[in-house]
Amino acid sequence: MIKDITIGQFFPGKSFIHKLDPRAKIILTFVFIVALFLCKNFFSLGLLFASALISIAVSKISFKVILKGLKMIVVLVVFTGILQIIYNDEGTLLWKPFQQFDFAVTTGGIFSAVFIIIRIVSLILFSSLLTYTTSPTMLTDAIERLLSPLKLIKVNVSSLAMMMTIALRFIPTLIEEIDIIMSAQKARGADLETGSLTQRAKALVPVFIPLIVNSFRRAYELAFAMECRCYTGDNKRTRMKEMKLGIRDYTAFLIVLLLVALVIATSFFNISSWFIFERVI
Amino acid sequence: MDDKHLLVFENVSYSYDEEDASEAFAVKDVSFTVDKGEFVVVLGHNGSGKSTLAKLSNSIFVPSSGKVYVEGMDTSDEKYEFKIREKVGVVFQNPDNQIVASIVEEDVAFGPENLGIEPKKIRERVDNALKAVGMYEYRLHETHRLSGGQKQRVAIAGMIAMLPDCIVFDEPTAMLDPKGRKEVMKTALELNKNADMAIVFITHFMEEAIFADKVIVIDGGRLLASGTPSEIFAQKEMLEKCGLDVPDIVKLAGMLREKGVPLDGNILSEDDLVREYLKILNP
Amino acid sequence: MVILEVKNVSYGYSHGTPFEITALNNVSFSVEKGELVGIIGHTGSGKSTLIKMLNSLLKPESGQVLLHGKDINANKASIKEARSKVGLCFQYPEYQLFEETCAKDIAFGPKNMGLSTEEVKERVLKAAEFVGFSKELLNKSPFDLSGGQKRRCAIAGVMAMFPEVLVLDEPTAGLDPIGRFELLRMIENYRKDTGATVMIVSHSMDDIAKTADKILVMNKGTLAMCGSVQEVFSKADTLIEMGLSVPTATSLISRLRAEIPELSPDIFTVEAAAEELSVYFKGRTSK
Repeated sequence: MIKDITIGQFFPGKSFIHKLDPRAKIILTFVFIVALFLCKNFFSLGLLFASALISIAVSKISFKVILKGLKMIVVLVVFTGILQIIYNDEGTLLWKPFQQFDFAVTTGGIFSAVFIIIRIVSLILFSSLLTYTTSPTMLTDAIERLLSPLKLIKVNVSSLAMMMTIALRFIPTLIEEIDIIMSAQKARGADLETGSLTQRAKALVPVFIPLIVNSFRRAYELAFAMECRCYTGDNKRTRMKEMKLGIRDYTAFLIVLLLVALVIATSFFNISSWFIFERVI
Repeated sequence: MDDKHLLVFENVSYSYDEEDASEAFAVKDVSFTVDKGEFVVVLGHNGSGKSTLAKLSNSIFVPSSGKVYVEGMDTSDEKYEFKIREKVGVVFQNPDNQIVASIVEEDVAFGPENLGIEPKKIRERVDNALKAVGMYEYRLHETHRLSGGQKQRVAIAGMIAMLPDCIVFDEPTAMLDPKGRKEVMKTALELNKNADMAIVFITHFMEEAIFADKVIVIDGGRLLASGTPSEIFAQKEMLEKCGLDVPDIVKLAGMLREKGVPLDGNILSEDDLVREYLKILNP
Repeated sequence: MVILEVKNVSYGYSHGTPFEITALNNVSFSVEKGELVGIIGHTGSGKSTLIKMLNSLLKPESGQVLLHGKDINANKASIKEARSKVGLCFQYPEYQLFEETCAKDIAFGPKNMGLSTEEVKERVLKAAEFVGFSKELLNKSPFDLSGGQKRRCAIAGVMAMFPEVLVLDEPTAGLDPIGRFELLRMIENYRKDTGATVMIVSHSMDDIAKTADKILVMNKGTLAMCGSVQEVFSKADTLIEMGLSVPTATSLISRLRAEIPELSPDIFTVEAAAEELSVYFKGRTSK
């Protein structure tokens, strides 16, 4: 069911993570993602993965929801894992099924597969934690503020942010609408699931035309509603929610800073050479 | 200009086709007034032009001919545009297409934010507005998960947060279930009573007109009749001719009179009918 | 003759998220050929899920839907058959119009059924007749029509498949009094002409009381009541507890009965109420 998608959704709450300044959250998420690409061994990766899990626990978002979000990328994860096993020949040979082919399962392949899978999963965890705990409006507000230096080169940042707010607001509405239109056309005997690629593309015409027509109608009505509320596109808007970095945010920055320092130290200065997996590889 | 009137329509005509205004008038030569604290219901069938009235009332549309005044300000004068939209809020039919933000309180804040009000005051206005429509507990909810009636109440709160003197409802109940319809109607009536807000309520549900101080009937863009609910509903033929009807209770009272039951002429609600029927049984 | 049977059907949405809902819980009922069935229940009671079960747009997690005694979810062919024999018209169907002309849009369903060009043409004309569409309107773009006309065009699109069971989700939503009255008459014409079963989801208890042979009452995903207009509306208290209303006349009479217990409890329409109250009044005053 198309409605079941949870990626990009927001789950309101009052946790430490929910209360962080959205700007801080964006920066921290970004830092974590960079750290994920910098880390080179299981110790540092484990550290980051553990911090992702701890952050989720702190945010009080149920792990069920998180797992559901991860379900969407299972195929990608498995596929990447298999590629790693196929292309990595380092380490001890474990299994060579076909003598004539140059394909072998090695410890190195398995380790790098596990490594990359944890890396992708952590990446998704961090980024979905950002959207799960931050309302779309706050997110766009934060992006608007982070991008505000661009105003100097005459980019209309607040219009961009407004567009993003509206886009995010209408995603669930449009998903619901696609669902209804598809049901309605299926009820009239439309076959949207079988046939060749071109046939299927053609079959989507009765779905997309109404969707586009309805979106224009929505846009038209929304524009009136916004005008009624004194929006002009270039007025100086104030915001109800001021963003202020507080002790909470500085604490978070400090913790993450320590973590990242640890990741860099273990990755580049080989402090963790005692670590068992390292020696096997 | 008479200061007593909040909203004045003076021989207003409006055509969507600016080139050829003689054709296809959506509104033709309409005049009426709305006073402070008055509850006015506008009745008309689909496509009668009644919805165009809503957009004419706050300078979204400007009359092709005639004038609309809000507290003495001419809506065709651009310098009043913002002031007018602050004074006259409009709530539209489709609850989905007037909510801008994903979170309830953020949506309500949208108007005051556009007015450039300072953050603390916006917070205050938003909280008050949400309390006025009974949606305060939902302030952190996602807008798209609300019921239709709740969405409309959020839209109303978005208007209240701009501190208007008048709210125009453009068929706010047409897309709602009976529960949502009741919620919106109750909210409108409470605003009228408690906050002394003038309400213009455009609808094609006859039952929603019984609470009005004044009812206006629009057909083919023209004002056909204006009067108290009883006066309007007494003109059953006129209403049917323009695609409308009378509320079932009024219809029932009429049938009873035809069958020789001597009921009082002023029956609009179930309460009225129960009271009057029992009265003639036990004089 | 039973045409459609729903047997112990259950279904839930959004498993594994905080928004999980059990939409249907062990629902069973059957529908006779030619019946007009009213489905009532407040928003979220499971009505919309239920009607999607009737032509296999959703498949029951447990239980069966039988059309002419055969499980509609048995195989691809049975699903296809159910889609054409059970016509489903959603709320605000006008938002699903997509073709260049009304005629083409109405033809979409019959074409998908694999009928011959002549047959399709014939059906389009017949469906247009049901909803009172002139030839001129048929050649117009559906996007140029008025709201009420669009609605009728969309409903004609479902009628053109000549379904044996026509299911409509709030067909009159958003229409003005005359529009409502006319549309209900058109649906009634379709039923009389084709002998089809019609199922209408509606919030208007007055419309249901006037037209339905049988009423299904949905509440919290279960079938709370199933019976004739009299059987259902005589339980006014239960309906009100579920957040539903009763017909105007029923509500009035039940209040008067508190004072005048002699009044008949089986009054569901304004006409019947007028008759009952005038007869009672004359009886009282002539004494």
